[in-house]
Amino acid sequence: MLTVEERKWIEENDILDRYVFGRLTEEEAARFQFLLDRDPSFLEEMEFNTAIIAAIRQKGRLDMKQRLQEALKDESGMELHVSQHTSETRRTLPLILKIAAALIALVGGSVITYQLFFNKPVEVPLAEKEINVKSTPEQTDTPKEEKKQPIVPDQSKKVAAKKSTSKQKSEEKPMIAATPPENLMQKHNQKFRVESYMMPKPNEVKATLVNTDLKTEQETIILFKNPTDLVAVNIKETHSEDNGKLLWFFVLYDNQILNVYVDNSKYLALFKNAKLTASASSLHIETKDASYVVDLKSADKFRKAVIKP
Amino acid sequence: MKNIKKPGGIILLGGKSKRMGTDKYLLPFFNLTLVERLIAELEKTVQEVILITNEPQKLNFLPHKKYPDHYAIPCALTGLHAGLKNSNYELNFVLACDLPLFDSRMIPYFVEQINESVSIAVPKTAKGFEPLCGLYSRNNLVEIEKMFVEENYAIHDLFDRIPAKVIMAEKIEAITHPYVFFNMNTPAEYEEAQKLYAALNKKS
Repeated sequence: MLTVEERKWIEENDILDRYVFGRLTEEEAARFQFLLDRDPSFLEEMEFNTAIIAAIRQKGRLDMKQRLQEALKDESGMELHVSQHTSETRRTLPLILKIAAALIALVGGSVITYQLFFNKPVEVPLAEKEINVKSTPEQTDTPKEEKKQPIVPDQSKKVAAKKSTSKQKSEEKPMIAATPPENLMQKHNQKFRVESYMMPKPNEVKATLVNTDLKTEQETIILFKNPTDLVAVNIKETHSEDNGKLLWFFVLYDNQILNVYVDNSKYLALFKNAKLTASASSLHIETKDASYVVDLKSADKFRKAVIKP
Repeated sequence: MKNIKKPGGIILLGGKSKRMGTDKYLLPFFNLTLVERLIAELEKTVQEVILITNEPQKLNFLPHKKYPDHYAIPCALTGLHAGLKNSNYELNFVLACDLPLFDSRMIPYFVEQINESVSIAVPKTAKGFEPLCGLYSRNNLVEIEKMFVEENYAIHDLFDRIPAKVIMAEKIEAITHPYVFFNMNTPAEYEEAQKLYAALNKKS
């Protein structure tokens, strides 16, 4: 059992919530992991709570879906604003209230949420969707300096050994990745490629997309005002002890996922023609030539993408 | 600064050419040396070409202005710094001498990308950035000098500090030709470059 002191530490520091979103410091993560390993009942309790938190996030995502739908209906532009709703909720409410609110929401008949998190496997619906991008001979656009690359292609597809049962359990948690609106999942045959891009701010990508069928170009601005909406985690290994970051996101345009990007703030890795599967703990990216697993949970595992089974 | 729209040209002639075994920019490339070919290609689009070299005596046969590195650190950032520092132009197309099939038709597209909020335009191939085939504003000198003070010599880090417009190679290849980023570092690649160049000229 956890001591009063330990529970106080968890509540006061918002440990549970920050754990879900990969925002614990190394020290906090180590202490938290120690508690999980020591106390199986706490592990169970934590998993239940993380499911609820994920449900809260999902509600935010449903709001986001609505906004995406509206944005995409607007022919004048493709400005996709991802809301801060979920994180604000997370920051302003104490954990217990959040849990209570989530329980009410769940019991109150949130069938969609229920199905998402209790009746489905860990994969996100969009995960199975293949990106329709005109591919280049080399599918993965990774940086030159291999020693610094955080994302390492897995050509051999060997199995990454799992170190502990708690880690195994953590990978079975509900997913928190974004899902596109239903109308975006409709069949559509237009193909796009990214012609150029820049990241003027950490959470903003401006990309010029080319419709390869119609030969038209469109400037697309994707604003990730709240990077946690797309799963952001801090990492230290990539280039700096202070400001290493890992963001992953996909460029969604019309009904297509164009590309999957993984950004560690030093390099932006671009995965074209890929399948994306996201869970709370990892990001699975499969291209034609290689598979990647980007672990989203522990800083220790962010050195490189882990080989996928 | 003289002309903001038509850039200056900077060719970086550093590098030890270890794998080539001789200065690659002095290798004959059809009727010219490689450096002459790059100058001629750049001059189709830029106002003036300057050369950054620590061995100017090897280039006495060329009338172009030659400047040495300002810092004694052998890296691409040093060459970029020296080029921008000695340029008279606001915008500068910076080119390394290991791209023998460089095609200046890409330059106007790069210039189009520059605006108030974008002062760097660099291509990105499947292998990564090509920072020494890009367009840089002279305004970036301040940030580059800061990097030297911080002893950070990684040119890629410049793109973290100053928002850079990254242009996918596909786009540039569509404007120019598919081998525009062919990199030449070995005798075999030198041979291949000549074959490709001949084939491209024949085709055109």
